[in-house]
Amino acid sequence: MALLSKEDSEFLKNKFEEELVRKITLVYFGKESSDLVLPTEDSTECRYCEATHQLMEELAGLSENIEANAFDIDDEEAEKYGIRMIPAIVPLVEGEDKGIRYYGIPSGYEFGGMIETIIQLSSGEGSRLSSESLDALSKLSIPISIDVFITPTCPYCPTAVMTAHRMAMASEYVTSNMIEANEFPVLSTQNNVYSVPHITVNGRYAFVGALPEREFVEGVLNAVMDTIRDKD
Amino acid sequence: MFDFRLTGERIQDNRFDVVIIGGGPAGLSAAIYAGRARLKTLLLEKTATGGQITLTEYIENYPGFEEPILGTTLAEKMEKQAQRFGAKIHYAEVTSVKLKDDEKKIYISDENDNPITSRAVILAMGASPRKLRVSGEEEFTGKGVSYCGPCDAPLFKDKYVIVVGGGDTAIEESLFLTKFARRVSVVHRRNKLRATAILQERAMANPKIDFIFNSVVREIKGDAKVESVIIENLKEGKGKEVKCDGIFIFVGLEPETGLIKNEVECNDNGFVLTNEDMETNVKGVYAVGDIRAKSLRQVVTAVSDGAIAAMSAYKYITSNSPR
Ligand SMILES: Cc1cc2nc3c(=O)[nH]c(=O)nc-3n(C[C@H](O)[C@H](O)[C@H](O)COP(=O)(O)OP(=O)(O)OC[C@H]3O[C@@H](n4cnc5c(N)ncnc54)[C@H](O)[C@@H]3O)c2cc1C
Repeated sequence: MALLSKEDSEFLKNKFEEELVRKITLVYFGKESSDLVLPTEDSTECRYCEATHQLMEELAGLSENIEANAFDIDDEEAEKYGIRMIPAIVPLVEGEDKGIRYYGIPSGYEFGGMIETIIQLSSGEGSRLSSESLDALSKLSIPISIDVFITPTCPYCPTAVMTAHRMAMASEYVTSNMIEANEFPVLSTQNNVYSVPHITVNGRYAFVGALPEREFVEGVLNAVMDTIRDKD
Repeated sequence: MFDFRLTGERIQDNRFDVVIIGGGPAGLSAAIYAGRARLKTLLLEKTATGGQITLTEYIENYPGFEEPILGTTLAEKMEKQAQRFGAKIHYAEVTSVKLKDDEKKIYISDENDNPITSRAVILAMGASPRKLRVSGEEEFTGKGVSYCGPCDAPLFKDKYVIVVGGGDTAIEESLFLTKFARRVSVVHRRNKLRATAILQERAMANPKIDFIFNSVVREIKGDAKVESVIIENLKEGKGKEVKCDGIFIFVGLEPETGLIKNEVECNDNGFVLTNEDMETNVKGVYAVGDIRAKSLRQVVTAVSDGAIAAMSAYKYITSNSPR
């Protein structure tokens, strides 16, 4: 059975038709059979792999500008993209990795966020961050990895995920990971995730909440301030 | 099992007949009515349409849905209905407004220089949870202190949590929490709950919920996260420390009037004053839903306000039309 309703599929088809410009590849990582023991620190079975894979295929079926590409977590590709847990999705634009990752199924409120990300990536309009944010990001000289922990029932979470993703679009030093907290309970507990959105940078606690862009960017950079040096 | 939610559209144009600030039930209803009246309508929402109804699981007292309807589903239906009648829905936070002139100016987060202009404005920013104002609350917000059931309940699987409050929201959210938590204790300052009878019955019958009456939380303690709370029994005047994993606070609402405090007249508690046509003291500016001074804050009254305001705006615009 299809995951997306007929109505939503129809709506998305039209929206994609209108808005997609560049080709998007949804690279999916999972595991064929769900009862195998997995090399991730968290789940011993991948409860949502099948559904996530199916969702990517359904999205690909809605536009000529979207294709889905599935890999096993044991494949080389996983290493290439630094995939650590499954299910995982890496959206590519014209084959280019912008440092955006989804860990866990983007359902509930995150689904709308993912669609927005796809559209923005495909539009080729860049990050749409303010010039202050771009300025701050241009000072980065080391890679930073932003983890945004979410739950699908959290209405505030997609805003936080989008801001982190935009930072990744703006800077090659930034990787932005959406992490569905329920699907990765061990990681969530290790990171003391008790409210979402919960943001960590390079594994360090940054803040909780869907802050406005300016505070968000500041909060992320402040969390790793001592390790960032000015380029000049 | 899964639910997939879609979100808004981009705006091309900057001039509207009506701009609605806030996409909760009140704002969405105003958008439906304004759209049907063929007013050029823009609704601005900063997080997700539905407002507070996305912060609860089921709505079961909204007429017409004899089976409980998911708050998120109801929100989605209202949003689609508004779009069907031509209202534009755009996701952005309104950061400031100028409402006193005939041409109203609305500034949003992503386009700071060029304001959106409109002839009428409907204020539908709703309300947000009130703080308890005790020591540790701020420090541990996000570290075990929560104001959002649906967001954070799934993170308290098999844990013991305290809920503060005795109204509908506190009891609904306690019931929701029992899907995840091992045990839920409801701390309430009076000797009986304020919640609707049917909710009380359900909570009383739920083996995972117990009640601590005549009591208040005085302090929230912990290290990296919440470890315990100090609960004082008001009758005995004695406090005791109770170990817990988290604390959810549902002690009422504060109106979201930061934007407009100096633009329209509010009452002492900060709620916007209107007449029964939803008019504020400023011409062409209306207030609807939870942000407004009124006695029942529910979906059914919010949508009623929205409809009235849209019609008042329609009359205002058509009778003052320079077009
Ligand atoms: C947990 C809970 C359970 C409830 N259960 C029920 C129930 O069972 N039945 C019932 O009838 N009612 C229930 N209610 C009450 C009901 O949800 C509210 O009365 C109703 O949502 C009020 O609608 P509103 O549109 O006025 O405001 P809100 O729902 O608060 O919506 C306001 C919207 O405005 C947005 N906003 C605020 N400021 C800005 C800005 N500057 N820019 C852009 N957007 C902005 C917010 O993001 C929000 O989406 C419940 C409330 C809660 C919290």
